[in-house]
Amino acid sequence: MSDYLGRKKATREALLEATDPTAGDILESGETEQRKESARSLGADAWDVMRRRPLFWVAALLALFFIIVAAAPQLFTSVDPRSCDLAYSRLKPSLKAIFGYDMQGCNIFARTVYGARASILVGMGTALFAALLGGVLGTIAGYLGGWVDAVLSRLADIFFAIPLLLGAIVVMAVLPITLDTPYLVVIFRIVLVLGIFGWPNIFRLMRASVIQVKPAEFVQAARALGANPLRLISSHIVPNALTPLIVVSTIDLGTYIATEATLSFLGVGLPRTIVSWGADISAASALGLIRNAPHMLLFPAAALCLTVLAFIMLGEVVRDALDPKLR
Amino acid sequence: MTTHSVTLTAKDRKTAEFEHLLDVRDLQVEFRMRSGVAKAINGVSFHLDDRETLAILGESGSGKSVTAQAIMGILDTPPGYVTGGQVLFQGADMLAMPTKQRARMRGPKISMIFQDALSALNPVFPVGWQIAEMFRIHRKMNKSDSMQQAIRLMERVHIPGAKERYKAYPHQFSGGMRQRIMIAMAIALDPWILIADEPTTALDVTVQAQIMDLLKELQDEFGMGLILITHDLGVVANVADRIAVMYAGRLMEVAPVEPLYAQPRHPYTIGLLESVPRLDSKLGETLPAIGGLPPNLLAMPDGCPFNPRCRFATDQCRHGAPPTLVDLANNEIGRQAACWRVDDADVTTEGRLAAGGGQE
Amino acid sequence: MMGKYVVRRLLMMIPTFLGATLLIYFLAYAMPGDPTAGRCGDRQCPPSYVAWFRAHYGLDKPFLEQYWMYIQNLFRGDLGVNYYQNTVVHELAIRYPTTIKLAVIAVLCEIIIGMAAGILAGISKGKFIDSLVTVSTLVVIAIPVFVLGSLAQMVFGIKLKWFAVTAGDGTWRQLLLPGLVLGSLYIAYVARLTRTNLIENLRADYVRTAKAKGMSTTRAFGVHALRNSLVPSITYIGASFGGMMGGAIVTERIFNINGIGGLIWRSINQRDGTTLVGAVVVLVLIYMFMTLIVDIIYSWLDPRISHE
Repeated sequence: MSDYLGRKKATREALLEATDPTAGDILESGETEQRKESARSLGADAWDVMRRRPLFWVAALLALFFIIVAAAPQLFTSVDPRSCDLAYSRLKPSLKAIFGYDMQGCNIFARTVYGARASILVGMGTALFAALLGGVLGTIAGYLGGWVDAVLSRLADIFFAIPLLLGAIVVMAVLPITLDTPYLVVIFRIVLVLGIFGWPNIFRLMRASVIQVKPAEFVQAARALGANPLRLISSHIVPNALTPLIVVSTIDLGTYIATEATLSFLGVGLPRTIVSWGADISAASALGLIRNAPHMLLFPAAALCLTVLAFIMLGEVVRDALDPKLR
Repeated sequence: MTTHSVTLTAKDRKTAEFEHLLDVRDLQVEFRMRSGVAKAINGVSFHLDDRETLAILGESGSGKSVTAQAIMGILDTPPGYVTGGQVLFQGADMLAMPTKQRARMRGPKISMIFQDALSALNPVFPVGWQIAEMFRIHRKMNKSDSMQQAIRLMERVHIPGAKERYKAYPHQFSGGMRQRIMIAMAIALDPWILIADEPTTALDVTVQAQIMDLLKELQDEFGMGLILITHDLGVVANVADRIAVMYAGRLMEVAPVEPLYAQPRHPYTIGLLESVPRLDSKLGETLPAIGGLPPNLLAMPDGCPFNPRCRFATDQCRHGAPPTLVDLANNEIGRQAACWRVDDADVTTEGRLAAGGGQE
Repeated sequence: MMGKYVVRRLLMMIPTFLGATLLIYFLAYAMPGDPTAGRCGDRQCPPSYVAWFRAHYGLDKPFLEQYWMYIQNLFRGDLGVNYYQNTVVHELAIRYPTTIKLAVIAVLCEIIIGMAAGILAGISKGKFIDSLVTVSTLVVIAIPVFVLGSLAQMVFGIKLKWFAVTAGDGTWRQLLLPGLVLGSLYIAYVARLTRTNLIENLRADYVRTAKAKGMSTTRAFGVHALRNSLVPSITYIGASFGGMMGGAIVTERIFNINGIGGLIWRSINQRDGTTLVGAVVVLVLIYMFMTLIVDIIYSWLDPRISHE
């Protein structure tokens, strides 16, 4: 996922500074900032900044809303997204079906509501998988250094050299999904495929964080006091490197959702039997349909964009709040 | 040295019709931030004469750097705004000047060096280029002439191998050498006033002395007024003619160096001098320190800003308007202090006791 | 110093390159489906033909041996012959110019539109133009390229007729709209990146120094802050070149462009492993080469980077 590399490279330092316990010094330099009465933690400070930004609440509520829709679609519609009637084919939105009907005469509102699940599952699953794989390997590489670092870094380079979308297309072609593959297996497979090409990003981020935190005085002090390496990593190094990881994972989550939709658009992602935004958008994207039945494209596409937007915005708001340089 | 001075300085000193070289009157600066408006400078007044060295002394956050930036006209706006006062350079108010005219004065009339030369120098341009820029932009010199001048300046501030290092980048120099480059840049256009904002704070002790010597040397040679901003009482004692003590955006005391060290009059100055280690103190004796922290500029205490930390504070100090800086009575020439109790016996006695605690 | 660094980087590329090709080769090898399908009309091919076919293309050898043969040929500039008896080098040679053209248009858009928008937003932080850039880039980032592409084709191609609807011939004119679509995501990121860095650098100490030196605001921003701010953007633009090759699969499909993206897509559908591997190998090479160039530019723009 090279799309995010540049952004990350640039923000990584800022993020690291934000999580560094000594970062408070930045505020004091130049005397322009005022001394705080008590040394408040940067986290509390960031929360204060975020709380006042409407963008944060919009993004958080939107993300939460789509997660709820994904978890319990039946709360939002009583119509079965699979019970379709060709007689209704391509009917425009009406009171009976506020989003209208698609080619097969399925209720688009119901399909949009039920389609959230696939996207959210893929997005969250991939973000989690990439964060775990990249996070663990990155920590190991950064902490141990030497040949372990060299080997893991080259491994990450290999997966990084193949663009996410391209890699995913090829792997999905190798492991084709048939119509009778169970739902969760299909989701899991896409998660695996996207995660395998997504983890190097997190790996590099985490490795750099650990390398930067490692020589910090408080870590050296813990080391000198004879802290057990595992404990040292888990209680001193990881918490300090975790914030950038969470921020980047949240932003990536949005991209994974978009990539999954692209795979479905190309016909190698979720099969038509699974209700998903990607497949519905793909079906609605034919030139003639955009002109004659734009509602078929509009609603699933809008839902997809809003979801992607929500997660990217959420990650960015958190990052900006943690970055003292941008205030 | 003298061969340089012939070419490097050419000030016309005949037209000295103004009272002071620099006259700051009732300067007010505030920072407008999300969390509120911080009054960083509250009516600061002082002056600087030709070839004089004035030290502005204060803790971090007292507003001494902000004062310097306001005089230079390089405050970050927003959040900083100059909300009142005058800054008279040779009798003309710089705050009333158009932006462009003011920018043209920075360099030839008044210039500044900063605490951290590494971040103050642009990392992506060679140091020589950055010095030569002064001549190219202000004097419209061509490339080779400005380069000649820059190399000459680098030699003047004792940078070894100046010609070879013209093309080197800031990160390739040591801290002391970087500060020398900053100085070369600041004196390039032979300014009347040089403001040095904690010029030695970031440096090793041995290098500190070298830089201070260089500044002193150049001040004499170029005939500059020097405003030295520092928190280090030791630095001040050796080089300054007069001292202005700053606290919470106000001047507490202004005095010539020797009288101030002989008898500080403001309780804050007394506290500062007490906290300097003295040669005659007994072994194991605890060094006195001023208790408490400087006030939050967003929530200033009522009355005198120093009152919560002042052991002499009375009800008068805790309420109403803070005391203003006034000339001291009893033929103490050039001394000013901002304290209600400045003439009370217990304050003057403590002042005398605290004296002698300086570095010498 | 720089020469040594380049050599070291080239050496480091070898394992990455071998690893990436091994991975792709393995995937192509594992691709299901029968490459002889449809070669003998409607009927199943006779076993003798299948055996000949497998032997001819080395499909009967163990995987690693096949890979090793492939790598040896690769270094001789031979990417093999695909199942249609065309050399892969030829297949690539007729398509790469189109895709490169597409990517060049996208990169130019990144530089012109992305950087300009970022600079404009950065110097007017908090004003209307800043909000406009911040919001519009977010929207572009959130809309998947295939939706954006279809919409752009509909609106600018069919309704407004500003651009060509498809780009079958691959001329610069035809590729304008597809290039813009391909670059859209990157344009948005370049704009945001430039904005963030400019805002950061405008508050840097050396910009204050420039002002203290009596430089005009224009010079303090335009010369002193901008040079530092553009370094990450340029790095990003270089790195985006590789990602675009993946994105080209979608764009080329929407606009019916006969380029590498289309070739990769077709080779996957037709189980043509040789072509697939060849196309991706060249793509990985381009990507790694661009990364190296970007790093060299980076150290040239920022003298603090040392390659000791």
